[in-house]
Amino acid sequence: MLEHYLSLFIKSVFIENMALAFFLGMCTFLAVSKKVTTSAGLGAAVVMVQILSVPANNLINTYILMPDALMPGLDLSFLSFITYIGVIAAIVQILEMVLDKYVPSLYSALGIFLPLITVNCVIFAGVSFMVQREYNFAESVVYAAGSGISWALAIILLAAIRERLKYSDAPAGLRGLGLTFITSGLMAIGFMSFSGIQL
Amino acid sequence: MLNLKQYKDSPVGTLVIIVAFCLVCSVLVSSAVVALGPFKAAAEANDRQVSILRVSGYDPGDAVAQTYADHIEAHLLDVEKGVFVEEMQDQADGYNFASLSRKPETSTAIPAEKDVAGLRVRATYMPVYFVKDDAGVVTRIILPFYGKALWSTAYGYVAVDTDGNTIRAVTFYSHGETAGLGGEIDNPRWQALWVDKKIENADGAYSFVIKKNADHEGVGKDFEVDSLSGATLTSRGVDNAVRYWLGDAYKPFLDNVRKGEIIK
Amino acid sequence: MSDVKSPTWKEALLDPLIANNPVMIQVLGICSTLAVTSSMKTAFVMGLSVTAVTAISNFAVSATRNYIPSSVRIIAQMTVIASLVILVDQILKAFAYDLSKQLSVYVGLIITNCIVMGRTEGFALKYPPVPSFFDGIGNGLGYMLVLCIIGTIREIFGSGSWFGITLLETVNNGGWYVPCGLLVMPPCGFFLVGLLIWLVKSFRKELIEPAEYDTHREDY
Repeated sequence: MLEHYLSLFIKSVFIENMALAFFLGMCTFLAVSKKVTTSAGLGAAVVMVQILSVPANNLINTYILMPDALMPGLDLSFLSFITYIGVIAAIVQILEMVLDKYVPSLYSALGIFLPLITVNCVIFAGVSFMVQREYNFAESVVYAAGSGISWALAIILLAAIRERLKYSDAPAGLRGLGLTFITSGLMAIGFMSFSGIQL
Repeated sequence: MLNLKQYKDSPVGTLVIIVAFCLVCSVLVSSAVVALGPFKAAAEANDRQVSILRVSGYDPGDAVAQTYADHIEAHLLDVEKGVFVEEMQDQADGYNFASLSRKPETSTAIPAEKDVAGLRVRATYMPVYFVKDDAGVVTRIILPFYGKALWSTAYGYVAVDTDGNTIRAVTFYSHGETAGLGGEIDNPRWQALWVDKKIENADGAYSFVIKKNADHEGVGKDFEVDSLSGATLTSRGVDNAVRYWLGDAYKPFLDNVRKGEIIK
Repeated sequence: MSDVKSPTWKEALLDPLIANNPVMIQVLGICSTLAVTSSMKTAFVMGLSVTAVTAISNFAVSATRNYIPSSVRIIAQMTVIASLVILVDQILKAFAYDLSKQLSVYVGLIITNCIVMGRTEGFALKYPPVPSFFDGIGNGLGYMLVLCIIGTIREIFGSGSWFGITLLETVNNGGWYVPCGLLVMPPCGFFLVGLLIWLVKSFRKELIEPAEYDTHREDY
């Protein structure tokens, strides 16, 4: 059983990397990856929100939205999107307040990133994938950790490369954004080599 | 209305406006879902019926539901025993084995040494579809099968002759493989290679295989299908899925078919 | 309540198509640009869906902009957008089941597509409904334009077809064309967008980012 969770974790970090295999959370991935320190902060915030919101939505999905879950014959699954985004927004908001009150040092480090995360599609996609693949609660926790870490890993790697890239003599039109796209593409090809691993 | 505008930032105003917002949205969404419900159900049923008919040998044209009703007969199979579950016959058509395989009460664990397709569990019962000709004689048996390919779980149907050993057609109705590479499992030319291949050899040993440089002339020509170029791992996944379902899970059922106990 | 000088509907419609394209210039909505462009059909339907959602949500938010309390405006916008996306999802499931299967979670991801949220927040909250509506359509079409350019390149050279119609008979089907496997691979989207941005910037020099570091310094 442990083996199963371990392979799910490895799979969600490397093989199904949120940023480099599914291209999710690209807006922030490209915009906030100029410095390693800021991207690490954002990455940590994503991991945190992901670990909270995927399992929370898993419970809501299993006990409220699924057909026959609330009462026989009632299928609320069409409300899924609106519920998920509501739950994510609420969790981000609550997390912000809790951090502000009890862990001010962490809040000052992560605080500015938290509002950004509501509209970061990594979280929403994590929830959607969890539902689509019908993970149970324990699996959803492992998957949340894995997928959050996968995104954090990708953005930190990209930021590290971009810190070096600014010393490169690129064509003027390619400088900055264009080069970042091409770098991410090459990274994605690198990550594709994980795809053959049988777990 | 003017008052509301003035007080919109007071707590009560905020609450009133948000509740109104939610009400309007929920009415809109719910009525749309209810109105579109029948169309959605029909589209889902149509999608499934088209996939099944694709391996039935009948071309439905536009009359999918009619052809399906005329030629397809669903049964629910107790996989382990290899016999039909007569008392659940009415649930057989469209039996959702994929989602029922995740519930403990309707699934069976697959022992690790037999789990070549990487499934861990499967539904205890599986739907099986008989294809009947105009005279009502069974001509093919359609079996659903699935397994882990490269990126995703690939789901398909394979049609087997009434001898229980000859593959008549294959199709895949859901997979997430890369278009152009692994996605070529949808290519009719490749699927045509499966036709007339045998599952077991004369000694009753499982022999069907998807491999590189398949044998087209010698002893292997009845059993071997070329793997897709550029999609070795997808091909291997499909091979494993067939190996598990036709070579192992459905074996009791297929043996019964071969003995002539299922189709009289 | 008087509005700030609002752009006319024509400006609102045409500006985001090329001059201020949401993908190329504003760099919004990249996720789906990369993920659904390996075939034209999915790219086209995705573009249409985003256009519809952006236009209608812009209209709705703009029409109610004077009533939305500022403290909850994000949630209010989210509610509108999410409701519309559910509608689109249900319509696709009912009338284009096959496509909705291919688009899978990416339909739901329209909710978090930055273009939609960016336009309601950045445009609809300030201007009246009619220009907002056309701004939504313009941005949606600008997004669709980029999707279709990338989709065309990827599908023609990657699978030898366009909208599923075979143009170049591939070797797998007994033809002569050996498809470029790289183009159907997901990472290729990055390269194409990167190169498109380069192209745009070589025509519009004012968009070129300043160098952070002078690589031609001669003092070392």
